[in-house]
Amino acid sequence: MVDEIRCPKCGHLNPPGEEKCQSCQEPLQVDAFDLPAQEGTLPDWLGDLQSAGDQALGGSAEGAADMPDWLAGLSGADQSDEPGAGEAGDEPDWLSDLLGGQDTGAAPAETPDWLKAEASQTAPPFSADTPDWLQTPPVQPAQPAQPEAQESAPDWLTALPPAETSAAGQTPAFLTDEPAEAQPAPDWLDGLSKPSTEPPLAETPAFIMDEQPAEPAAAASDFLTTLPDWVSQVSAEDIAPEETSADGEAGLAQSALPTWLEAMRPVESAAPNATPFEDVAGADVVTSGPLAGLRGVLMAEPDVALPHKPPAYSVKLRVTDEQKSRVAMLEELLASEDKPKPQAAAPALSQQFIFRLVIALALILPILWMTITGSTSLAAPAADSLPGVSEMRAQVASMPRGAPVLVAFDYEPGFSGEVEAAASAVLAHIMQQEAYLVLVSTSPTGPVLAQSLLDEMNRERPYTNYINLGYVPGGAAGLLGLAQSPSRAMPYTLQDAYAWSQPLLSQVNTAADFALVLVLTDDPNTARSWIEQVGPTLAEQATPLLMVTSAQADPLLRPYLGGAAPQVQGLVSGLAGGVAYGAVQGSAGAARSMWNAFGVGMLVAVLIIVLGSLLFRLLAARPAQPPRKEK
Amino acid sequence: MKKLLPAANAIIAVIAGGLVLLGTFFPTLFGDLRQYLLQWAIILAALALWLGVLNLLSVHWKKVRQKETGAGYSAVLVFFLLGTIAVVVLDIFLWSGGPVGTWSQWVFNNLQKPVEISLLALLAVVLAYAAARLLSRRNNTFSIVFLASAVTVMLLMAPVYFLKTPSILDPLRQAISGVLAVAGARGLLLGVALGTVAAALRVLMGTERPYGG
Repeated sequence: MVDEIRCPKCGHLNPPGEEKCQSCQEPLQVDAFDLPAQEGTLPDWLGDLQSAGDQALGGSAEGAADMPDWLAGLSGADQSDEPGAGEAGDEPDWLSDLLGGQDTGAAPAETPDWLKAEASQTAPPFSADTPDWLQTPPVQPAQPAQPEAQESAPDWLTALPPAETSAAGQTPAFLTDEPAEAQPAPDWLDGLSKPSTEPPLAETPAFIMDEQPAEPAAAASDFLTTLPDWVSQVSAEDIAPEETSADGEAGLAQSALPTWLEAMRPVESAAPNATPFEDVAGADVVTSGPLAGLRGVLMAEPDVALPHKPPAYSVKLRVTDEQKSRVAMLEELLASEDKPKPQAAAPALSQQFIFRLVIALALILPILWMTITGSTSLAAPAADSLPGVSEMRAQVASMPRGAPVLVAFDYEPGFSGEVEAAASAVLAHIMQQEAYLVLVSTSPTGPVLAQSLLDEMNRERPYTNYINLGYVPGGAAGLLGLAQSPSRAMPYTLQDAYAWSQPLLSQVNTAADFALVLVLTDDPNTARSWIEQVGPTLAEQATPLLMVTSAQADPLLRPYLGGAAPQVQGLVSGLAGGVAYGAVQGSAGAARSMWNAFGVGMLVAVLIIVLGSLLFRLLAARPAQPPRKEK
Repeated sequence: MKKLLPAANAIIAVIAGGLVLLGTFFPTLFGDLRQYLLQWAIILAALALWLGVLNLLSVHWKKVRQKETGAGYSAVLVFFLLGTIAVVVLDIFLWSGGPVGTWSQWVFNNLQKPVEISLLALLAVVLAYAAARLLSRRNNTFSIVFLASAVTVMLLMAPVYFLKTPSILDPLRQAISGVLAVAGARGLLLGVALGTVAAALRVLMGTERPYGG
């Protein structure tokens, strides 16, 4: 029922006149079409049209008396033509009447009549793949323009009667074609009133060739099926602008532009020959893929991904002169961090140098004087006052004459002055016993020292009753091997002769078979090695172990000398021991000649230490001078 | 191989040391074996000396070739090393003097001996200067005692020129050198002996490996 009002909330049908829904009490909204037109908001002519429309929608003849005559006649004519009001479905009656005037055939209720009419006249057999916008058929210019004008015009305006069918006396002034007497009508209204002979361009797509003659639908279908869609679209676009431009330029007259306006023209217009399109003549041709054969196609793979030689960028910095100077200053500061600060140059004659020079002269000059003069005024120390000297002399004196004696030269050349002076008297005593000397050494320089000492002692009458076996390598192990079996450890002499074939040495199997063992050394550690490695072997046969050492080794060897079972049976240490041994022997050896110089030098050294200590102590106690101000 | 070689070295050292030690306590059973081991040690030590000489020569020759710092001193060392070897070789094969021949002794007595003696002479001057400045640098009781002891021993070991009869100072000298010095030396030697025994046991047990590994 048309009169019933459907609730917009619950859908309940309410009788007309109800303001609220009977089911949900929702206020019933009134259709916009039912709102009364406010006076003064619409122009007169539009209000008249709306009232006429309301009458048509209402389907009643109550307002027929207020309707203009021309509109009433039109309405009556329509009503007489249409088969029945309200049978067309939901569309308004007036629209149904208007459409029914053109096509009186029956149409389905779902499809509007006007669309069905269009579809029945121009619907081409498009395929299913064709897009909707392309399915719009080309406009046929041969058809009358009224239907297209109805499509472009508003609905309410399409309901107006055509100009040729309306009576001149009933047409309002604004709809008449009399421009001289009445007010000039707008163009759009002229278009509506006069039958248009040109096809409308506003609703026509640009790519549709309007000027071309219409072709049958079957031909258009074949054309669209044989070519791709985009190809047909491009062809339409290429052709249409040329024709429109030709038409437009034909109606314009060329005029001369002012110079200033000519200069303001865009560059494109000043150079009309410059084509906006890219010249792809020299572009590469695609050789594979779906776009094979085309030229100038954008590559699917980015250019950065293709292998190519990397561009060479300049790494040279743009540095100003000021920045360079600052960099140089910073580098200089950093370089000076690593460099040690130069110390003030020491004076050539510093206090330290002068004092050392004084010490050297104080030591050298008295010693040199005593050596040159050969003074022997100082008394020699007594042998009894030096431990080991008397025992040494007794051991040498008690040895059998011509017996083999093992002599070790284990001192360094630097100590040769002291050790050789101390040993000279002892060796001289042993030579007096006509002992057969077997010379060995655990120092590489020992064999030469031994040979030099013997040669020095026997310049006038060379002593030949000896053999030099040379260097005994191996340190403590070599000493042990020498003590266990001298013939195995050192079988040959320095002259590459077998040493143990002589009658005196043929009976020597161990170190204990020697008459005595004499060690000349300046090192207490070397002396201790002899005591520890060779001493036990010598103790088996009570073979004496005698030592001539420097004064510095004397304190460490004294413990081996004393006791109930001494490991060292005789000890001569230092220059004092040599002088004492020589004094007992009654020989003025090299030690005695150095004894006075040694005494003077030692006394000077004591004075230097005592006086120097006092002097430096006083200098240290002096208040420090304030530091000099640097310029 | 890197693990096997140190283990083999340790095994050889322990066995050799043990056999030499057994030879000391049981000379009739292990005396000859100990003697063989000692002879091997002597030969190996001689070869080690030669290797040391060759290494010294190569190191300094490399410095001379690359002109490193102190290359001049290295050149002097190389020159005299090769020169001394040449003199000794010539003394052996040409003049039949051997290592103690005339020219070998001349090189030794006129070059090596004076140089080493001069170094010790400089040491005497330096020690005297250091002793004189000791109280100014470290003025305490121990410094005074040290200086007093040094001066006393020096006076007692050398003849005092103005004292015709040094027997006056003999009791003092005997007290210092025969009691104090010997007591200190005995303590040092006892410590050295204990350390030697401990080091020997560590080597025999393989915990101390001075030969590497």
